[in-house]
Amino acid sequence: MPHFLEELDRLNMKVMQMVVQTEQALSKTVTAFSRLDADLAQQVVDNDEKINELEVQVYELCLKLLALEQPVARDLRFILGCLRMSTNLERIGDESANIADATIYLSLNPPMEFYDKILLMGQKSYDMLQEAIIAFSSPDVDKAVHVCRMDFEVDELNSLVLKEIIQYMSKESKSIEPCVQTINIARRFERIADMATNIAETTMFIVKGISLKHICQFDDRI
Amino acid sequence: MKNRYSLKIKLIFSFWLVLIMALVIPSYYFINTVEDEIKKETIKSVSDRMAFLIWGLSTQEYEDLRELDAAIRDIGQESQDRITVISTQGVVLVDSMVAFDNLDLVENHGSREEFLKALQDGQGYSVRQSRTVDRHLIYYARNLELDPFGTVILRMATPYAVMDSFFKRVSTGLWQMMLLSLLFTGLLVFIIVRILTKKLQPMVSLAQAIGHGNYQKRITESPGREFDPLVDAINEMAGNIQSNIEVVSSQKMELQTILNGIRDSLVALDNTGRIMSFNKSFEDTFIHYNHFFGKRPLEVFHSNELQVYCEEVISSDLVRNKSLGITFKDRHYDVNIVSPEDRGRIGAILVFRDITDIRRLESVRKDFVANASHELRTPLTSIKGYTETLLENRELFENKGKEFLEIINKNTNNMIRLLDDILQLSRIESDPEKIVVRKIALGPVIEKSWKECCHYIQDRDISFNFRLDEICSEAMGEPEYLGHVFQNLFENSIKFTPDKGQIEVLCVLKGDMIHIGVRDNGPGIPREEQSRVFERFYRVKKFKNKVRGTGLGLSICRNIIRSMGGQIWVESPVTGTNQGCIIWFSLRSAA
Repeated sequence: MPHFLEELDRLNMKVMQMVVQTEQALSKTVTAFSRLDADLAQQVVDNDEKINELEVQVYELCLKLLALEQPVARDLRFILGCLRMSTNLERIGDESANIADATIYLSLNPPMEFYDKILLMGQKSYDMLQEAIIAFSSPDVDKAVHVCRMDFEVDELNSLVLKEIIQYMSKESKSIEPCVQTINIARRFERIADMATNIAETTMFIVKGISLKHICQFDDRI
Repeated sequence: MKNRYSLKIKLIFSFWLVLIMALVIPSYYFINTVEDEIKKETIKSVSDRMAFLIWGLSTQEYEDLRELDAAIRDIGQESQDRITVISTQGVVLVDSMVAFDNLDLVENHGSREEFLKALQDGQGYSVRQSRTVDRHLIYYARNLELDPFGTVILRMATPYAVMDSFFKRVSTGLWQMMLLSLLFTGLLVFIIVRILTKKLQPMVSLAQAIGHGNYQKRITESPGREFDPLVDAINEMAGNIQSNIEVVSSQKMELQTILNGIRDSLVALDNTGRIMSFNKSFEDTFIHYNHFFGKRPLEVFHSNELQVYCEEVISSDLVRNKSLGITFKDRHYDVNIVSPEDRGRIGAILVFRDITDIRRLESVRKDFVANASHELRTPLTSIKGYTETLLENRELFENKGKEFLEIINKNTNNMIRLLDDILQLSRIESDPEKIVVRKIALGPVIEKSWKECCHYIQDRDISFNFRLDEICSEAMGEPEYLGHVFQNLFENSIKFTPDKGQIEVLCVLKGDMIHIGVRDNGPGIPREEQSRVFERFYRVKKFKNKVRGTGLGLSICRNIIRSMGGQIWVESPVTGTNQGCIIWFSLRSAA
């Protein structure tokens, strides 16, 4: 195999490692939240470092390839896509760690009634991430489009949850702090869903060569 | 193996070589012999003429050289010969071609070959290019006593013209002939090779076709007898290849059938750790991918550990076998990585065994015992408690006796209902044959079931509607048991649906199965519990203490539906929304 292809393969594997780490982090976060399991949440927080480290490696590899090999066409798009992927994955890792932090705090309080909806948000964002990753590694454009569509559901859930929590807070002023944490968690899950959408868009960029930033939210044609 | 020269060139050159040899050697011999003969002939004729000349000269008397000169010129005019008389010292005395007065200019002939020979032997000749005329001449000289000049040498030079022109003719002819025959042979070779290649062409294309996998083809005609062994060899080779390929492909088919028949997923990795082939079960299990070929385990199974293990097994000579458990898309797999003894193309084989159900069954059994005893014990404890209290405390018996007995009665009813459910369940389980399916109309069954459940609604506002399309108005089922299913599902829906709720019966035709769903807009079933709600006594944790029930309803439904040949499953939240739940089940369509 030529050197360049070997390097591309190495980049792909690095990104996939990052993907796996991030996926596990989010999965653990969702599980930790559903059980309010502080130990599991702590694992996520501890593991975030690895994801950050991988991001640095991916970033360096991308820069090296761009500078030394002067790739064109699909290879170039793949490298740029990997750059975007790694940024998004790292952000997802960070958000997971933040949610895990909040979960550790919430585990000290009794569960509240709107946790179910937030859990559902978490599960949906996890589903989206999984789909987006499969779309990326296949690569499969149809799946990527599907991910974009799923984003609506999470957005809707987020606004629903927000309303509910605000109502709850107006009644029970004692539990404002856990409520704010919960709002944070909901918003973070929503952000994760957005970033999964970004990953899906990156896949479309790599495969089709068209930049589709935010398009699938407005455009029904794709 | 590429030949630098074509057969055509090689043949042409060898033909030409042979031709040149064949032409040059005889011509050389022929020319030499002929030259000798001609020379002999010419010399003989010259010497004859010389004899005449001598006789002519000796019949006359000469006063001086001038008379001799005139006589020689007379004779010389008749023939083309040049006649010279030379003194023994080599001085030219007279010459028929040179004016008498100019004789002083003629050089001494003392060193000429013919002169020397004549002086010595009485006669001599030589052939050479004349300096005065540009021709080959034969010089013939003879010793002669001529009065009054004493001994003189008479020399006669006659042109060797016959020879010259003859050789010229012969050699041009030879050259032309040679050129012509070379051209002709070139053309001949070209045509022969052309014909040969044309005849060989079918053989070549056939051999190529065989090489490309067209093993049925055979060579039927041979370009020549010499090629017969080659033709036979190619045909035999094709036959052998064909039979070998057939054996190999039939073995492959056998193997593939066996591999596809295995329930476990099998994947073969090549020696660079990429997916090379897999069996049918794998394809069905991991359908989320479009193309596995050339992917690495990490990309497909999203497990770092698996990737590391695979790499270890492929690269290491010591580790030939590893196993680990991975979780992918909520299912657990026991993965065994094996590397073949002799690593050729295959680097490792991964065997995936789905242990999700085994694990689930383990926990089901554990939970069943705990749940069943708990469900039975709870009412019994309550009954026992109240009865003991009443027996021991007479005062309480009189005051609150009725109240207590009502509680006991309620708990007894609960127990009876529970036992009824269990009995029904075990009846269906032990004798599923009892349910005989036939073609039934679904509408009346649904309506009847709904009527029997209506009283659960109490004072809430719940709307119910069902709309059956023409295509699924009928199905294969058993009305009484199907009624139980609908009753259970409606009961559940009513229990969990909030005020102003909606319950709906949906129906779609999928192939030859009708999918019927009971939809509500309640809180839904948490995803991680969805696979467990059909277990006996399993109740969704959140509602365990809020909503009454035995936890057997859905379990009964599942058993009934299964014995009618269908499936039952949960969709929650309803696709496209964030709430509600649909319990779907399938029945064979009546059509």
